[in-house]
Amino acid sequence: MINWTVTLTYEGWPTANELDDFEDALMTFDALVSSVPGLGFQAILHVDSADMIGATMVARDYAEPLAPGKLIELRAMTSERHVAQADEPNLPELVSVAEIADMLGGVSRQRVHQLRSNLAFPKPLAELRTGAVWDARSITKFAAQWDRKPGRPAKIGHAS
Amino acid sequence: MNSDIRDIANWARSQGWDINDTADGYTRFFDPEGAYICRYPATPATHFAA
Repeated sequence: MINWTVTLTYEGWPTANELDDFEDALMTFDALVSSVPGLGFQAILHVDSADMIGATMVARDYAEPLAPGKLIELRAMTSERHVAQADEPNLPELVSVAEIADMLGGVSRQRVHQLRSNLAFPKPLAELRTGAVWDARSITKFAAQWDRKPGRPAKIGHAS
Repeated sequence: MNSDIRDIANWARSQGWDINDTADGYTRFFDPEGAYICRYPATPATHFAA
């Protein structure tokens, strides 16, 4: 037997009490029922079965007549995969101009702003009032491909 | 509140969520816009063996 996690997604807007009743009805599957604002609601069921199709059919057949909504999506995966997926970050690592300056080998922030006019420079994910933020992975890729031109030679002293 | 969810409940509160322990033995989660999202029991059941 393999432990499967089956996620059923429904269209509809049941009340909190209706969601509670639905979850209670799925208690034997240790189900979690939650609303998904803007979409509907989901039921996550844990089913032991020899194969994924069998687990999916058990979950669907049991939940379908009880659900206060219309089934619009069905996903199944091993519970091991479900736990791993839940642990995956759902936001990229974010960086601002200051971090990018460091990632590009310690250039100035002004140089980063100049580089933004380079067509190859990644577009920011968001422009905030305090500045733009980028996906760190896009900057890492840019840094690996960037053909850095030498700047002005550093001043080593002042002429008298 | 079940200790399994204490960390995530604290994190959710830090993000503007409202988390309440109710008299029926559940911890209930409301998103920053006040929408009810889900509940978690004080003593979760074991999964079903098909």
